[in-house]
Amino acid sequence: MAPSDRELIDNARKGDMRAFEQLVYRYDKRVFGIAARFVTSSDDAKDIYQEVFLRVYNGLRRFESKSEFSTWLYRITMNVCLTYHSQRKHHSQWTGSGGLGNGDSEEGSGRIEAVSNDPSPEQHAADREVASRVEQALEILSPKQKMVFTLRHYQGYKLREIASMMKCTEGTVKRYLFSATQRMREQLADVLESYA
Amino acid sequence: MNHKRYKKLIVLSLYDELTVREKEQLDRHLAACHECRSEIASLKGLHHVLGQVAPAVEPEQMLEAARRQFREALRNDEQPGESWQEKLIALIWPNGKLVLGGAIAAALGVAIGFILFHPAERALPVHPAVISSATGSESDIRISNVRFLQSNPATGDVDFVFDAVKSVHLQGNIEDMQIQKVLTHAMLNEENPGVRLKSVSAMASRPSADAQVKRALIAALKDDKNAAVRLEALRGLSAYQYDQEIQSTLLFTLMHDQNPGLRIAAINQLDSASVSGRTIGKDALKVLRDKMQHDDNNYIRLRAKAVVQEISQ
Repeated sequence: MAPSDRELIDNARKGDMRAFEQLVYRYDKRVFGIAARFVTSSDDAKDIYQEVFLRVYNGLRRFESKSEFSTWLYRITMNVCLTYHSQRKHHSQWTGSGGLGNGDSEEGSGRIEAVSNDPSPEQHAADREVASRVEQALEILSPKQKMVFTLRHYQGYKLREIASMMKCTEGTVKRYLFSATQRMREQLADVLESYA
Repeated sequence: MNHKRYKKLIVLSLYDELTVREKEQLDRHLAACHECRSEIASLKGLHHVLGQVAPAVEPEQMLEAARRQFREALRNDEQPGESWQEKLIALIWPNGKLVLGGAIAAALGVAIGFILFHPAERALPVHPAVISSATGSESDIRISNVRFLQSNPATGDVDFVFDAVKSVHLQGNIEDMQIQKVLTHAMLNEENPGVRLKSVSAMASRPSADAQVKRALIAALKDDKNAAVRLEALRGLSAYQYDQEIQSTLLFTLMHDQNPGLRIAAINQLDSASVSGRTIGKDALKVLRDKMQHDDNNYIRLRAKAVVQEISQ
């Protein structure tokens, strides 16, 4: 039977790196998925991944098990994603560069892709255009709006789970979702017309 | 309840986030309100458009790359206190000063070099690992990789970091601890895979008493991007006493290495350990059984099956 999170944490605290690795691998795919949806480059996603698990490694002794390990882990992930975003924005303001990493590219970074089964070149081109527009619309959202929207819409987390991860009320998460939805609709108004 | 509230319920309804009571309220309202029916149609259109696209699925290699990067960061995080580079510099030049700052002293460029300040006439201490050292002025220092941290044209203040490299020639025996430390560093950090391979080969020629060397071989086996380097590291580990740490590493290779040659080499080492009378635990058997059924490579499946049968006898 697989060891519980509690057992792995206890062993990791005693210096058992294998236990720590097992704990990491149990959740890291999800963490990486959250990071990858939030930023526009795979290098940024890897940096976030690294920062999250370094914080877990350094903070494991202080983790008190009042909440589930996964809740604690996802909270760290949220904080790192949101901090990363504001640091990148500050850096780009200081260096005078226009935007955030690849996010200001008109072409998008390829983080959103078409899912159509139609193989025709025309459909493929149209889908690529939609994908690019959706990516741009997501980049215009505030970090918390984007986080809530991608977690709810693309990753299927329930609002109460997102609230737990972000350490805020469900009401707050709902407000972010409403605002994000409105902004997405505004940004994609012309695309919506062509699909109507 | 006003329209604003119903519009929010509409957003939530499309995600199935309404309570039973809220759903009933909304359904009653929609039956009577054209504006809200238009609103829900508009949002369904948005969902339809968003449904035409999806976030790209990250390939497994990207996750593996993130894992490697993290393991390397963890290794760097685990080394507190004075670095071995600083100890080596202090040994060679006991009164030497690092004129260009501690940060640069800690950074090694492409070649293995050190920043040093050396009064030209001072005699070097006798040490088996050092037969000569670079001497000369700062003009022999090669500067590269200048990174600006801050720059204020108004005041003229600048803040930047750069790499300054000077060559050092070390000669000695592989059993010398300082030589081992330099080669260990090269094994894990050199960009050129040929240099990493030579470093691993040199270290693998005989086991070291230094636990850090064994850990470095394990790290190279798990994380090096080059399969030849990983294979050489695995061969190097075969000279060490088989223990739980080595078994875990072999299992890691068997489970995660993309290169079938490495997985085969890991199975062979497990087999050798078993034949020599070492205990192969339940974890190892579990992994071997999984490989005998699920590995992509036919030879590995057969080999794993053979080893499982041997162990089970």
